[in-house]
Amino acid sequence: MPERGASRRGLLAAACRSAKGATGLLLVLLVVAVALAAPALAPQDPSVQHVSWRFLPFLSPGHPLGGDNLGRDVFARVVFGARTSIAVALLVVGIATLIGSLLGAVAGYAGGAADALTMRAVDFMLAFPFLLLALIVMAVLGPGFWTLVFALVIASWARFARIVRAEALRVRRLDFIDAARAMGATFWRIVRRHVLPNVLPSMVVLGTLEVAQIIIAEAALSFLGLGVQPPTPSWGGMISDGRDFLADAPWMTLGPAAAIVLTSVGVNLFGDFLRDRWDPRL
Amino acid sequence: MSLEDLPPKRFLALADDYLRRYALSRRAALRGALATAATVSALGSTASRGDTPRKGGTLRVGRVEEPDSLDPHKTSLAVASATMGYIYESPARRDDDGKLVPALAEGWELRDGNKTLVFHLRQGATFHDGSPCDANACVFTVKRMLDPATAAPTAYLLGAFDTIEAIDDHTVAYKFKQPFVPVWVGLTSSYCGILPPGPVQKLGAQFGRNPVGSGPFKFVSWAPDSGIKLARFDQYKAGPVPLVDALQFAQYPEDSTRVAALQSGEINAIWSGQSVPLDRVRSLKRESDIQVQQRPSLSIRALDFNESRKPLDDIRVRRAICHAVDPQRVIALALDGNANPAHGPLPSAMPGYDKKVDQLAYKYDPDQARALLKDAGVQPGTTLHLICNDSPSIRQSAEIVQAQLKDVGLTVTIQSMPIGQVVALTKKAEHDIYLYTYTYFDPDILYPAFDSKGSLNRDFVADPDMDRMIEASRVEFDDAKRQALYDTIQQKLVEEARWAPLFEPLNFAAFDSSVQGAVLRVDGEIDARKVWLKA
Amino acid sequence: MPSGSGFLARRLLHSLLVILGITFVAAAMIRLVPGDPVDIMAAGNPGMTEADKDNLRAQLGLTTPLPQAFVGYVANAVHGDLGMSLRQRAPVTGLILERLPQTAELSLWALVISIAIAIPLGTITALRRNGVVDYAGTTFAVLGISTPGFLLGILLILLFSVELRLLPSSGFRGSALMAIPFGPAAFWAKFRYFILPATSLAFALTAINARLTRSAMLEVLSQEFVLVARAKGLKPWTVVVRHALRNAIIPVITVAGLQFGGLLSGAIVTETVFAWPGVGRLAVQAIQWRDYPLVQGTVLVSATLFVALNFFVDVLYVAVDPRLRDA
Repeated sequence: MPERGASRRGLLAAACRSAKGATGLLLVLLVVAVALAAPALAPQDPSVQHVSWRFLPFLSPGHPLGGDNLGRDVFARVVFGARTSIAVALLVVGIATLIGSLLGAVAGYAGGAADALTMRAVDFMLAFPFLLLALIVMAVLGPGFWTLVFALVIASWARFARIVRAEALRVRRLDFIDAARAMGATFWRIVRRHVLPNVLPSMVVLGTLEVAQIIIAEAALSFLGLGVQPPTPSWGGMISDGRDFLADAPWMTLGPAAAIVLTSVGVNLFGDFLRDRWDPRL
Repeated sequence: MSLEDLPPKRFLALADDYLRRYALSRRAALRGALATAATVSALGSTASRGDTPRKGGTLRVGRVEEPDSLDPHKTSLAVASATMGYIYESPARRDDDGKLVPALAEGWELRDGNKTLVFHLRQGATFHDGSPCDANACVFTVKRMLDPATAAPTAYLLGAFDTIEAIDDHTVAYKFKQPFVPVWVGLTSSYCGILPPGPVQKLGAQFGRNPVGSGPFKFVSWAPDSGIKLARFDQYKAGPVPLVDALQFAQYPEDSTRVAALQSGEINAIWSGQSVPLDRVRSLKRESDIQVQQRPSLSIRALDFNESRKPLDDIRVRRAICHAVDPQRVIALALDGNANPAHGPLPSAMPGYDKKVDQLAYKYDPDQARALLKDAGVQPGTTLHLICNDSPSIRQSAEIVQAQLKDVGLTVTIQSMPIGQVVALTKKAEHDIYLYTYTYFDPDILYPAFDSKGSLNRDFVADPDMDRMIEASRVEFDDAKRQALYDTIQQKLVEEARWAPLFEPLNFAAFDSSVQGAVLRVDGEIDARKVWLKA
Repeated sequence: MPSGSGFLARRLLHSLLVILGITFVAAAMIRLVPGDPVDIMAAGNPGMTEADKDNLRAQLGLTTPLPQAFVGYVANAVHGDLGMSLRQRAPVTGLILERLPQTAELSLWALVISIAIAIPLGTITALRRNGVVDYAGTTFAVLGISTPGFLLGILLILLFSVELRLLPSSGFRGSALMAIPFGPAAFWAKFRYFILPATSLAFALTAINARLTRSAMLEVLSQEFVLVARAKGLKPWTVVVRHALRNAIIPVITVAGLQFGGLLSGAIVTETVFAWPGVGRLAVQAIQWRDYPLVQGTVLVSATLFVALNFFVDVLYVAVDPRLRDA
């Protein structure tokens, strides 16, 4: 097992040394920067419509990625779409990780009824056909940003919980936990001080890899008519809207698709780097 | 003069007229598109000059939807009704323009104070299994349709039905409790197609998947791998025997795939409902080996205001929105030009339409809109919630509206959902603005849409004056008086800015170059009996 | 430590509870969606009054309260009767059985394609760790997981059907598996229809499986017996194929088995794009129509399949490694 404390301190330096880590980190930072600086970067409001911008091709003056069918600037929409897509991905992964690791850690460490209950809930979520669940949840709550986040969290927390639980089970058997218990540490203290820090690396790796999947899941839900509501642009929604125009106006699709691929490459390279470093078993 | 005293001829004329208006518009009412009889000559058919019709071949059609059942008493779905129109024969049919024409019955007359409709059925008509399609079959069919155990969703089409009686083998009497003006709406639809007693009893629940009728095509198969297959019924008696050997319907839920299947020659035609995607009409028209037909429909898309809530209870705010939204822009951007602007509560091709609303309609004028909003004390940034269905053209229209209202300082949040939720949520008044989509056959749509008791009323206005006029128009049989009422109602609705009309959609069909003789009907369907395929 | 059969019984009971719970939640949730089945039927029929609708509700049995309806449902479901579809007015069991084979075979071919690509790809990237091949492989894998399935599907159709006219755009023309005994021509006639949808479904799986193979290979390659084999002077490829791959492939196949369970319900988007008559589209349609028995039926069947596959994998694991029993 690598020395985790040391590796975390030297993480940035290590990332910069590894080609994979450096490329990944760079791409991730780039996308996050674009999302944060969207209003400064985009020359146009992403929801403003101009008849004359309709179907403007690639590399038109002032519209590097062209115009869409409603006469909006595709570049502005891709840049602002980064906000939606990144926000959805981070929120979903963040909340799912939080719920998943807490439940998983407690279940794995406490065992017994808590474990059985959590694991039944996990089995339940994993066996529920995800897209059908999302379709029904969206139908009950009505589509929208938070419904989308909610549906995706519901669908993904169980995977985190399962992995953290397995990790917690392993940690429970370690000697220093016995020692801590012998010294009178409380249940929560052990979970907080020993179990969670030990499962953290797995969570971070899993979470990074999940980011790309959430962005794609958003696209799939947009395709099924359940994406964020207009005029908010999201990458998945843009690709879904552009699919009827693939032959006539491919730029409507290519811009957001390239953005997803770049983000995904970045996140995955970085995730790979983390995994190779922290947790080669995943 | 009561309906019972009308000379039967007048009554039939009235019923016929009702049907024509119905047929002009018959389609999924809230979402589909109704067609108008306006300009069929300008459209022509796919027949090219100098070719002689030829028998043979399989016509393969791609559609966006698939029927739920092909049992006429177990479905209410438009695409099922269209499909059953090829399999079953009703006493009468409608032609391409919605006019009443004989089918199984070669004639009919009214008796008993217009309460009994007697059909004289054709001699020698049989079902696809060879059994006779006669008066007994009619009796069996109607009894089954009205039996509560059948739970037929379209039983309402028969209105206040009393009983059915076979006078002899080829004469049958449909008896109503009172004179029923919309009688032909039901009796020409495939929901009232005549069923063979033998197969229905033998097949039970399986009948909907193995239909037997007496229509121009007999059922061959309905399987997941090949869609619905029908074959020409050579003993067809009620009209021209089809030219094509077979008719095949396949479902392509995704627009891009459906169009690709036509382009790659896997199917010959796309029609029915929203099957031709509006966004692809332009590129399809450009292709030399694809024929596109279009025809105006009798539907309207409009912004309906919930007046039970602030600030839309204020006429100045509603007028401001009417001034702020430019229908031409919606049509140009969201529909790629494939629609006509709407001006009032009724589509311009509907009987009863008042031309005067053209002048009364609010002109696009954002400055005026801003002034009105200021006058009404509406703060810039006020948020309005818009609910609309999730078809691409509707959602995109909503986006244009959103952008235009943002221009005058109103923030619009959009919620686009499947039609089922839209209907349910707007009924609970959970909207400020509802992108209303209706398709109807008669100015009587004013009752469901604008009367305070109307089932489709989504503006929640209780105006006793308006109610009185609308209700009077429903029982007024004098054409001129009824029109006068319609005119007043329409003008009042426009003046009070009860809704902001957007556009009247068009219907489309697309064919490859082998398809001949196809004419887009007023209801957006194609009469496949007349279609033939070039070798 | 519990006995083997006790473990099995407990797992079986848990599985049944999970399936029952999922079906109940689906049944309850679909009833919470605004607009009931009759509202949807009436949406296209403005002539229908509220009274007509209430009549129809009573006739269709929609007035029974859910708990009561659900008890009856479960009692019948035990005998394989999942009720009658409200819209198609046919037995739900039959409707699902008619669609399930198509989804299953599509999933199967997708898995075959994905494994056929993923294992060599994962092996090579593991052997050339951090080299150019590793980068290229990782990039391909990332493309796989970052392309929305529907976009890939439509692009494949535009390229292979509309432009090149090599393959049919969509649809299903019969089982390719069943056609194998009738020779290559018969097989190809059916299999052509599987290629595009299976490929588009396989793309994302390939990425995941290639990753898994790579990790598994890395781990196996660092183990002693591989080092020993190398030290004995065996050719590197012999070591990889004979020793390392054989061990690395086990987790991949296991995961693939689980993916199969997920694919049955996960193929919805692919089925929609390729007009594939599978159970996923049936389920989506059922939700749109609020066809309560059909929604319950499709959810019940896909959950059962998923649970059954998991159960099977777990049992196999326990058979191999009894230590897992109390985990």
